[in-house]
Amino acid sequence: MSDRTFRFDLAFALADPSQDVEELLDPLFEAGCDDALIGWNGKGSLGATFSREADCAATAIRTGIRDVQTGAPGAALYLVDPDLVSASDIAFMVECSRQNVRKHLEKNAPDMPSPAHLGNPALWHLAEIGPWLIANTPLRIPRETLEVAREAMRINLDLTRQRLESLPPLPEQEESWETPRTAHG
Amino acid sequence: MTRGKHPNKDIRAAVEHALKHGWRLKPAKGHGWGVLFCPENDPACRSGKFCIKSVWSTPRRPEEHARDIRKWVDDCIHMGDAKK
Repeated sequence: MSDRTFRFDLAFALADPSQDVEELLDPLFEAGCDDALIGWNGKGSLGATFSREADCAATAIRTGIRDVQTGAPGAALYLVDPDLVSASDIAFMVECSRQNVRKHLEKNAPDMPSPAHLGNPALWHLAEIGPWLIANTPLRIPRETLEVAREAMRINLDLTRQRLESLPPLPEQEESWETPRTAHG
Repeated sequence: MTRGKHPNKDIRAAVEHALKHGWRLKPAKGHGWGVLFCPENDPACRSGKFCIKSVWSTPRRPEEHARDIRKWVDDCIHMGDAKK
């Protein structure tokens, strides 16, 4: 099977938030991140946008994570994208207007996947809404993007479970002074 | 130091695109050719997490590197439009 190009974003929390990322650039390049656009914000977050050739999305993403963690030891992965997407994100991906995408989503067809987040904007898992859009609208998303979306959803699910299981116990509820009751109390 | 213009024409064009939209460029060392940073630094911006990015001198696939730089800039411009 020939290699295909997979595009994905990885977000990491650096082991030392005050680390100067510019000192990590050479180790990251030499660890294999020469097919990534490395970004940072100076506050302990590191991002890597990969355009990686591989036989499948899982391999591309797994090796991308490995290469960043080799160049930046202790960097903790916290997100893989694209996973949760808004109508605007979809519009950018398929290169059409947000209004056009919303027109399709707001038809609220009974078989349309439910959002993963209700809000402004609502968010869907691309792994769910992507195939539905391809089957039900003229909008087109590349197969590689859908493969990444599925793998991203899987990894983000694992990360969320780890975070849930690492939550400390809730603090004991303190006895509170009762406020004096008014006449109706 | 940025070694003058970037040797790859696609990356040169992507960097020009960023600079034209207000991004700034500063020198980098080693494998980094330069560091591009977004002028907005808006904490509300989704991309504000990673608003400083390294442009490689010799990326594995220069045309993809150029495309990723453009997408970053266009995503910010796009998001800016979406806010209007």
